[in-house]
Amino acid sequence: MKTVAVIFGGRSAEHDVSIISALTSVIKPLELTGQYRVEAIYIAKDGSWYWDDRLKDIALYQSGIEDFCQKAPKVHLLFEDGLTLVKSSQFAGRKMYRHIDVAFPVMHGTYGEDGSLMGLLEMAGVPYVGCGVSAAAVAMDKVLCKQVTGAQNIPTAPWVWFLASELERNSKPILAEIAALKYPLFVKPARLGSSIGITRVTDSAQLMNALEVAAHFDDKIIVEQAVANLFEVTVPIMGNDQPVAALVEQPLTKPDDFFDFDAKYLQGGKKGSSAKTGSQGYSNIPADLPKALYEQAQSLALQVYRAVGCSGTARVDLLIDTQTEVVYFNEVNPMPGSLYAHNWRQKGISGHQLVTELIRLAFERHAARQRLETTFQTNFLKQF
Amino acid sequence: MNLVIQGLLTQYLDEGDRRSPVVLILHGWGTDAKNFDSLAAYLAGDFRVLRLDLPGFGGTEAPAGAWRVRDYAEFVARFLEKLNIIELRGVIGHSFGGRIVIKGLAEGILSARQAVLIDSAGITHPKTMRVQVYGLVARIGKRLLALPGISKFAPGLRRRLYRSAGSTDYLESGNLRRTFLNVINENLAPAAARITVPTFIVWGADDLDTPPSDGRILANLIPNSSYSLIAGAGHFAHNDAPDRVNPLVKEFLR
Repeated sequence: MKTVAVIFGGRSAEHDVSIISALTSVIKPLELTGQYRVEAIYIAKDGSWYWDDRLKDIALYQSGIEDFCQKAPKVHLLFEDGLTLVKSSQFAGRKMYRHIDVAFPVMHGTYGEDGSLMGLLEMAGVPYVGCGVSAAAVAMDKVLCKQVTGAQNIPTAPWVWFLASELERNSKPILAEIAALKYPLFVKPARLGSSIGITRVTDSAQLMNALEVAAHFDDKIIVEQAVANLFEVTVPIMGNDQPVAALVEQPLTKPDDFFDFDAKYLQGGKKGSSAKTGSQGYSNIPADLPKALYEQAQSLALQVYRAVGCSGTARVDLLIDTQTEVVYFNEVNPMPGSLYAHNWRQKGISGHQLVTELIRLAFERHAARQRLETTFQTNFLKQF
Repeated sequence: MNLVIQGLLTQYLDEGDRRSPVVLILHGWGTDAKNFDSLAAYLAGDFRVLRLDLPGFGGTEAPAGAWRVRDYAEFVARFLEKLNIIELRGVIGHSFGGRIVIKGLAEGILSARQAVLIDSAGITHPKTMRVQVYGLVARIGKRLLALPGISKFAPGLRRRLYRSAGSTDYLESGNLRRTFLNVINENLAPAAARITVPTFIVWGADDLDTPPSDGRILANLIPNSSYSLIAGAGHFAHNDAPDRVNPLVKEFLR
C-alpha cells in the first residue's frame, strides 16, 4: 500500500481554507479508495509541521488546535531515499518513522501554492501532486503570469503594476498610468490568492484606500481594468502534457458586489448541496454560453495551462465580454480550493477517481523527469 | 470591504444611500459587525449605515499591544476620517461598543448628534465574594502552573478555572487578554456624566451580563437621555426583540 502525505495549513492568509480543502476533498476521498495509507501533515501558522491522525478531524481545528500544537511533537523530515517523516513517539525517547511515496500538497497562497513547497519536495526527490515549481511560482504572481501569457498573445484586460515602495517614493507617474485605465478597476496584491486584499474601485476617490489595502499584503500591486458586459467563468484542468478541461463553470456572484473571501469560502460552502451548486458557492455548471464562446473559453484555458507550464491540476479563470465576445485571461490558480471536485463530478469523475488520477499524474511526471539525464560523467575534476 | 487603519487591516460594511445621514454601529466584545445585520438592514432605508469589525474581532486584525477603550475610540475616529465622514447623525454602541461610544463622546474623540446605547457595558461593580475567591485561586494557580512538568497542562487547567468562574470572554479573547483586562477595569461612569448629546438607552430586561440596573445608572448619569426596558430580551436586545428595538432606534435617530 502506497503512503500519501497530505500537506496542508501553512503560513498564508488562506490557512483555514487549506484545512477544509485537505480534509474534505483530499483525505476523505483518498481513504475511501482503500488503496492508500494517508498521513495528515499540518503546517501551523507559525510554520511548524505536525503529523498525526487526529489532524484529520475538523473538530480539532474548531477548538483546541493551539493546545494540540503546544503538546504534540513537531515533525522532522529526512531526505534519505525520498522523503521520510520523523517524530518523537513521546515514549522512552523512541522515534516514529514513515516513508512517503507521494506528497499531496493542498496549500493555498504564500509558501505553499507559490512553488516553495514544491521546491522542497523536488529536492527530496519525492513525487508530488499538482503544478511544479516554476508553474506554481508564475501562477501565484498575477503580474508574472500576465507577462508570461501576454508573451504568447493570450488576451488580458488592460493592467498596470508597480511596487508599493515606488508608489510611496513618487506616486505621480504611477497614478498617471492608473488614470489611463477606465474605471471600475480592481486593485490587487500581486501574489495572494482567494480574493484577499482585493478592492473593486469605482472612482478615483477610493483609489488610495484600496492601494493601501493591497500594499498591506504585498509590495507588488496590480491594478486591472474591469471587463465590461462581464461573464465570468472558471475552467478546472487536469493532466500533464495532455491536459483535459472539466466543464466551463460560471460562479454566480452579486452583479455589483465583489465576491469576497466570506462569500467564496464560508457562506457558499454551506449551501453547496444541490446539483446546480458547487462547494465554492453558487455556480452554473456548465456555464450558459453560446457553443462557440463556450469552446473558445475552454480552448483559451488549455492554452493558458500550457503557456504557464502547469501539470497535475490547475484552475484557469477567464473574463468574457459578452458584447464583443472576447475572452480574456484573468488568472490561474495552481491549487484550486476543494480541487473543484464538484465540477469534475459533473463531468463524471467522482471525488475518489479525481484524487486517484491526480496521484497517477504525479507518478507519471516524476517518472518522466527521472528518465531525463541530469548528471553525466566527465573527467573535469581530474584535469583540474 | 477593507481599509488599512493604524496599520491594521479593517473590515467594514457600508450600506444605504451614500447621501443619507450617517449612522455608525459599534458591536460588542466577542462578536462582530454581522451581529447587527437586522438593525442595519432596518436603518439602511433612511440612513447610510456604517459598521466595522473592531480590532481583534471579525475580519479586522488584532491590536499589536494591550489597548484601552480610548485606543478603540481613536481607531474608530481614524476609520471615519478615512471614509471622509464629517458628521454622524448617530452612533450606536452595544455592550463593549457602548463603552467606546461613552468614552469617545465624553472625551471629544468622537462626535455625533445623537447616541444609542444598547445593553451597554461601562459601569463597574465591586467584586462579588465569588469572583474574589476565583481571583485568589487564579493568582496561586499562576505560580503553580509555571512549575516545570505542570506547565504543559496550564492551558487546559486555566480554561477549566475560568469556565467555572463564568468568564469565558477572558479566554475567547486569546491575545486580546490584556486588552480585555484594561477594558473591564475602567469605570466609565464619570465619562457618561459628560455626554451632552441626546442619548437613547435601550436594555433587555433579562440581560444577565450587564443588568438593567446598569442602564438606569447610565440614564441617571447622562443628562439628556431616555431609557427603555425591553421585556423578554437579554443582553442582545437588538437581536432578541428586533421588532420592538429596531423601530425605537429608528424613531430616535430620525
